[in-house]
Amino acid sequence: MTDAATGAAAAPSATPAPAGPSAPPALEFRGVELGYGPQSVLRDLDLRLAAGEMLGVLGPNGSGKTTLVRGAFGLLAPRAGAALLQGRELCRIGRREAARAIAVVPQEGTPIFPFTVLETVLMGRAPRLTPFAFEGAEDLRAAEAALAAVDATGLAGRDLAELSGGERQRVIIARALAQEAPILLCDEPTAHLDLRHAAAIFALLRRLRDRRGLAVLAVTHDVNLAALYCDRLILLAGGTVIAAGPPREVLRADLLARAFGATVRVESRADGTPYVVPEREAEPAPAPPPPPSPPLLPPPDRLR
Amino acid sequence: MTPRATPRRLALALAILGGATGSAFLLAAAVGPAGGIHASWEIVRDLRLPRAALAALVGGALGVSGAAFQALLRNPLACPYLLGVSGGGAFGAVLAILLGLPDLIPGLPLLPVVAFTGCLGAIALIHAVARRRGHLLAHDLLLAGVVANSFFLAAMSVLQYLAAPYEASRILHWTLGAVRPDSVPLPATTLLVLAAAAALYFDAGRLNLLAVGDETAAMLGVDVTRVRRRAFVAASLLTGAAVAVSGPIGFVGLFVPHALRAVLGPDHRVLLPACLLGGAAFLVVADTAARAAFGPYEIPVGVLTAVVGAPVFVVLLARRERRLPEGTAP
Repeated sequence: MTDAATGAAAAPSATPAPAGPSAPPALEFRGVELGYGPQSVLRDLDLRLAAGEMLGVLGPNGSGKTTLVRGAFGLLAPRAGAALLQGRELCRIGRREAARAIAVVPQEGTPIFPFTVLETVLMGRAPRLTPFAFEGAEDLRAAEAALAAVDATGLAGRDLAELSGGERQRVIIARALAQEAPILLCDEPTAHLDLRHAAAIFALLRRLRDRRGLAVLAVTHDVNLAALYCDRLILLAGGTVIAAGPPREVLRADLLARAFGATVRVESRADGTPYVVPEREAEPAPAPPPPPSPPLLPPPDRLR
Repeated sequence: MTPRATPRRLALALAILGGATGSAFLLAAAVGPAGGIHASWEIVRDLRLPRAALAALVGGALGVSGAAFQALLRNPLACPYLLGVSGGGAFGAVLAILLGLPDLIPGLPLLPVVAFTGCLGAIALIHAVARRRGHLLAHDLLLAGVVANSFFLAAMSVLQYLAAPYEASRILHWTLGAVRPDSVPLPATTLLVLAAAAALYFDAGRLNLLAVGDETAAMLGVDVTRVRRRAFVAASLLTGAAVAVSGPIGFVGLFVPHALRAVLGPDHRVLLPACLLGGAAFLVVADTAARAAFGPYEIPVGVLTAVVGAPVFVVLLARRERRLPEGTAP
């Protein structure tokens, strides 16, 4: 079942692609199975990411979202099916070449040594450097342009470890942009960010899709931001895709209940974009209020 | 904040540290026992310069391998002796002393050869234990290395316990660490150190990415396991060469990379060559002090570097602590 999948004729797909109809999708999974050791994490995975499209991947913890990113970069070879980059099998492409086509924003901590922001962004040029080489004027230009694109030019000389979570994430996205790859994969880009910074990251990813025509895949737990900014969503559960399509088709209370086992209500904005409202979980039985215990200390006003 | 790594910056660092190494050699050539400076040319040529050359070689090897281990283990406290490569070398050296190999054939450097063989055995053992499903992770390497180290040191204690008094004192002297240019194959050691340092420099840019994280490095096109294996073997060969010819000399591999990183920044394309020269200059000066600063006595340079290195390192750590900005989350 491996060779047949590769040779299959390009079947017309139901998913609308913003790029020309003849262009192969930037990234495509056909019946892909991914896993580690004896365990298979994802099965029968079909996915198309077109140039200039922003795709959100949703799913509960442990549903294989990070595994999907690793497979989409070719770090993990599919055990069945085919993972294709512009029509070529990903696992047959050299790692450095893959890193020139696909930039990843991973979830990872800070380096152990005090690299500056500019040095960090310049690391995005590594797939283009020969051994022994230093970054040249062109690399510096690309890094500075990337910093400007994420509005972080002022941070260039700072130590990466000094930055706040939102600043750090913008710098890591700038490193990915410095790779000048047409595809951007983000693994939970808004993890640990507050409301404002999480929205700013999604707005930035959307801007990159609109202005540069990047194909963006964002794995996220932020269902509402994903609905606001993504063209399409896919919902993972139980190791496979249970729904794919525009946000209003994927963010349905029944599907979300099936994927997350959570009680939610889905409402609609004026323009039809859905948003998800969590409902309070029903308590099994109301616990009786604890009997008032005598205070260990007298109330503060009696302490004077 | 240090400026970023450029060829100009590398050239500047090499010029300054090269000058420092040259000055260290002049100092070593001029200074005699008890600080006297009179000597015949024969003494300079046959005793002081070879000894300075060996000190430079050992110091450079330890400096580079310390910097490389810190990056490839993602641990700023790593030093060349952390992983038990030196333990394997020490076990080999003790075995050689017990078997009377050093005096077996005059002129044949059997002790360093057996010690180096012990290092090679330790490298193979650590690698075999650490690799898991084709991967070589930093913490697996660290665990395997630390266990190998305690095993070799335990085996060495057994041999030491069985040794006769004369051999026991010889073993003790070896384990203190000293630069002894007699019965050391200097050209072969030089070749080995330069080749291993060059192999590490080939991966200097990739070591930067490994220091950020395995996932990041992999996503930037680095074959993480291959680079870590290459760097582990090269850094271990440097450690092995240093230990085989001089015994374990502490703190050079920890202190030199940290001090130079604070000045030059963490980029290994500048840091590794700087550590080669910086380590060389450092150990030539330390060894000259060890043989000249204490009146008629000469103390092993390993004792000196440990006694002086620890407080200096504490100062370095304290300064770094103060540099952290306010409100930095851990």
